[in-house]
Amino acid sequence: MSGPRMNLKNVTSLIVDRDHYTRGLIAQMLRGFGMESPMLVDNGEQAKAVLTESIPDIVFIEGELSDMPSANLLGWIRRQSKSPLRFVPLIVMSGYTQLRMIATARDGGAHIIVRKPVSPQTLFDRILWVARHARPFLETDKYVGPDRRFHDILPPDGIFKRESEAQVALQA
Amino acid sequence: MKIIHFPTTRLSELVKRAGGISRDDAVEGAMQQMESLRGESDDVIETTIVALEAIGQAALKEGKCSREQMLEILQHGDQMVTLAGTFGYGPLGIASRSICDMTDGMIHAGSHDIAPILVHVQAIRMMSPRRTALAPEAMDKVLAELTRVLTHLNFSPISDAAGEDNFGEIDGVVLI
Repeated sequence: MSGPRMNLKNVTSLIVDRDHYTRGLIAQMLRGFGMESPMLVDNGEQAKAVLTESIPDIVFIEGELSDMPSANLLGWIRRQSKSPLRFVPLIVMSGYTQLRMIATARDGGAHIIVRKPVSPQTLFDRILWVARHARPFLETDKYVGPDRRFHDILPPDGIFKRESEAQVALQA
Repeated sequence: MKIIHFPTTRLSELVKRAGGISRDDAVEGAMQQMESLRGESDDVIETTIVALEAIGQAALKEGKCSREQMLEILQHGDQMVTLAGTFGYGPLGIASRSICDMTDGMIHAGSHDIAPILVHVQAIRMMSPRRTALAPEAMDKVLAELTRVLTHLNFSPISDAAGEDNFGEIDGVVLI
């Protein structure tokens, strides 16, 4: 069985991570998937500079940036109200010691959070999931980003974490 | 005020195109690309171990491990967890998570003890990919010692403190 197919040719990306070796690893995986060579930066300010000039199709952000909380960069992207940049899929990649930041990243507007080390299988599946499952995009005073609740689509593992959502799914 | 958008992203349009790559082929391609980095990764691990040893020696001289040194250890440990996990160095990954758990626990407890750090650094040195691998029994013994240190200090894994159970995690993916 060869699994689902995905055409990633011409898909552009940005990787924001302080560790050049980790950036290289993720970049190699993406190239292996057939994506364009990603843009690589090591902190939030550099990311903002790049994103002001161009809009990648997907952005990978380290769980804890070296120069600002990752939630700041997420929030900056999500509040670009006049640009399609705000809707861009954002995948936060948390290092082991950055796991405390999960809730912050979620509330900052991340599409999904992946824990490092990430395998090629996991990365492929998450990109596919983010690309194929459109989620409503909410804009409120306190939160801007994809709907954090799973109403009509299954979460990546197919398991609901909130009882109310599981009930909604059962009734649908 | 609440506004709901239903945006279509360029990514979702691009992946719909005909052709493309199957999951298996994509994963195999990525594995090949990554494998080409194994040698470089081993060098990075070695450099990181040397850096940990230097911190341990400096702390020994000063008679305590400072908060700054512990934050540095966490950064190195984090990188080791990623590299060990990526390239399949299981025991090194366990030891690296252990030094992160312990150092994180020490920071939160306000401890500056050097001994548990040195024990971990020595264990990690024994697991360097540049060294001859320990026999499985010896490896188990070393890892059991590290667990004992953590239990003695009553520190729990960072993943517990992060409340991972509240979010759920499957196959390395934290669900939100």
